[in-house]
Amino acid sequence: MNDEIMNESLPAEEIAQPLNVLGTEETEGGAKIPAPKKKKVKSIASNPVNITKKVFVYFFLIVFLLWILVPFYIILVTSFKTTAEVIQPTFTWVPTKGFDFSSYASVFEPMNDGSGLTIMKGFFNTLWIVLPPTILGLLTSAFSAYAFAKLKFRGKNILFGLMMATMMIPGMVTLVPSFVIYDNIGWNHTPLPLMIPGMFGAAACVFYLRQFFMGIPSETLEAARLDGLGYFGMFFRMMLPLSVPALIAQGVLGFVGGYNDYLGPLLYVQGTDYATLQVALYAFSTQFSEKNKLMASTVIALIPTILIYLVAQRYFIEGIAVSGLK
Amino acid sequence: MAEYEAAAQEEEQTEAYAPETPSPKRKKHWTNQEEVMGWVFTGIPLLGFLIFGMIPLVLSFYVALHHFPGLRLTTDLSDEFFPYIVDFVGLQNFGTVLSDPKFWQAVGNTMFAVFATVFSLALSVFISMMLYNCKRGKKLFQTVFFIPYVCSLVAITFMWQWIFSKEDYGILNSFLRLLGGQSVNWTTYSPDLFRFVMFVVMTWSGTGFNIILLSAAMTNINKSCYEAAEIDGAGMFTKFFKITLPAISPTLFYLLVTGIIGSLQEFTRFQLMVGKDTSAVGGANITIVYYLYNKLTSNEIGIATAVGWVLALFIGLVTFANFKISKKWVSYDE
Repeated sequence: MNDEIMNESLPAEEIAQPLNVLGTEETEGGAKIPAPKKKKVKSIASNPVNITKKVFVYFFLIVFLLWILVPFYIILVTSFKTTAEVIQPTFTWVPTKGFDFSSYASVFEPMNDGSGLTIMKGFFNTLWIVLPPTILGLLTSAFSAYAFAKLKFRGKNILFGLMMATMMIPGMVTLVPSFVIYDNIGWNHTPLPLMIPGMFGAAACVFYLRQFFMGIPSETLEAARLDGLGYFGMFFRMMLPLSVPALIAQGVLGFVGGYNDYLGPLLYVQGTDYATLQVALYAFSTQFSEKNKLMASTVIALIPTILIYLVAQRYFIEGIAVSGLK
Repeated sequence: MAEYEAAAQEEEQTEAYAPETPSPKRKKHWTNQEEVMGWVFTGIPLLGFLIFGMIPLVLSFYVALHHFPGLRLTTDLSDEFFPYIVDFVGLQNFGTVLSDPKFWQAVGNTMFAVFATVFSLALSVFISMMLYNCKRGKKLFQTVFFIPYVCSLVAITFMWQWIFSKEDYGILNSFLRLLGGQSVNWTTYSPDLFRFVMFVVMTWSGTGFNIILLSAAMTNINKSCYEAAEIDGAGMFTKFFKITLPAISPTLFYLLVTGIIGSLQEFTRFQLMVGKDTSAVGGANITIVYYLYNKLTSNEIGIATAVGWVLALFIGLVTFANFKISKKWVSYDE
């Protein structure tokens, strides 16, 4: 019985930490262990209906877990095989000739269309194309959200309405005219269309951060102002430090979105020196038929976002849960 | 910094015209600066949204109603903003789109994507129910289930392409033959097989986001509701349909609407799954956005824009219909 509770509170607590934004009762349950002790043990151990239910629940959860994880395992194990082994008619769950990392060298292999593009180059292109608009856009969004949440100025509601209205513009309608405009001002075949618009922030991000900023008591700002802080001072010394979780949430979401974007880079930078990772991966797939190499590149492309998600999980889920539930 | 100066000037003016007691004057100075700052802070992003959102939007009306002989993709900066000779053609572009059987095929393919999305939402409800009833390891399950959501669609498509490879050594074919079956040409032969593959792929990557939001909604349900229902002798299904479903209906509705809007704009997975030979599955891979993309890359600018508008109309209609129907089954009361 003690075992039961120990096991429940320990790992749950640890893994729960990043996720408890969702307000799950798991962690709370851990805190108030002593009181319902008797009842709990009774209901779990002695009731056959509960055992059947448990088996039923865990059966489906584990099947679903495998359904999500096995494809990842398959690409991982494929990337560790040699080309000769990959085309063996029977799939093996472990590489029969030992782990072979040579397929990962192909991420440095240039495409044979003479562009000199490699998966690695695509990766670094993605970084410098996606990071500046993510960071700068976050900053402009934060400034704007700060003004909407904490400053008093004429026309505030009209401006806010206008900003919300721009969210209603359907992206697919503006896709083609934007392409025409960018082509005419010489931005086609450059990463500018992928970078510049994002630097002005995003309306959804402004909305989210505004909600967050409104939760920061105005008295705190008032006190800071009496201490002689200006608007920039208050923003950088008060608002930003107080809203780090919200900023990380939006920053991470923005980065992952930009990193995974495919249609935009396909339209504007495909076949140029600025090809992003996703486009490079596509080019790679059309040129190399060895599946172990393609899977190695795929693994490389997947690792960064999965890592970011696992590290910043709490912020990630928070950003999504809030934008989803509001 | 120019704004600072402007604010300072305004402040001087107020000082000159309103010689009042020190404290309100200070307040006035604050207000003026606040006003300017407010405009600057909110104005910069708004300016960007207007330039990169409003201008293309206005232009889209113009483009959709004109005939463009082609978009020069080799760019040289011209003095003229539109170096095209354009003819006003009214709604002709829309007529061309709506009378193209290939467009309607694309609509049908997109509807299939919508169907797959709705199915994965239903599956998500089931898995979330399981998660709700799961005590140990819940966080681990949640963490793993969400992973596909952060993965690049390009990478995911290649992953499934390898599993569904038509070669004998393709993962699934290798298992099929182990079980005494024959290799199947999954993604380049039959539209039905292709749809099956896409159904699997979309279900795989479509559940993570839903499960996170649905689990959050379910944990917010007051436990005493269930206890009261149990005392009244309610069974599993009664509890689900009378308590759980109404309680999560706002979340479910949100996920349904955003999911449908998302799948109406499906492109990446359908474009990449087939590979180089895009006509391989009899056009079953051409979604509306893929159709638009093809028109755009073949320089049929007016037609592509018209497709965009028709798509936006679909999205509007679906959202409107959902809101109408939602009044019947979504309960917003706490």
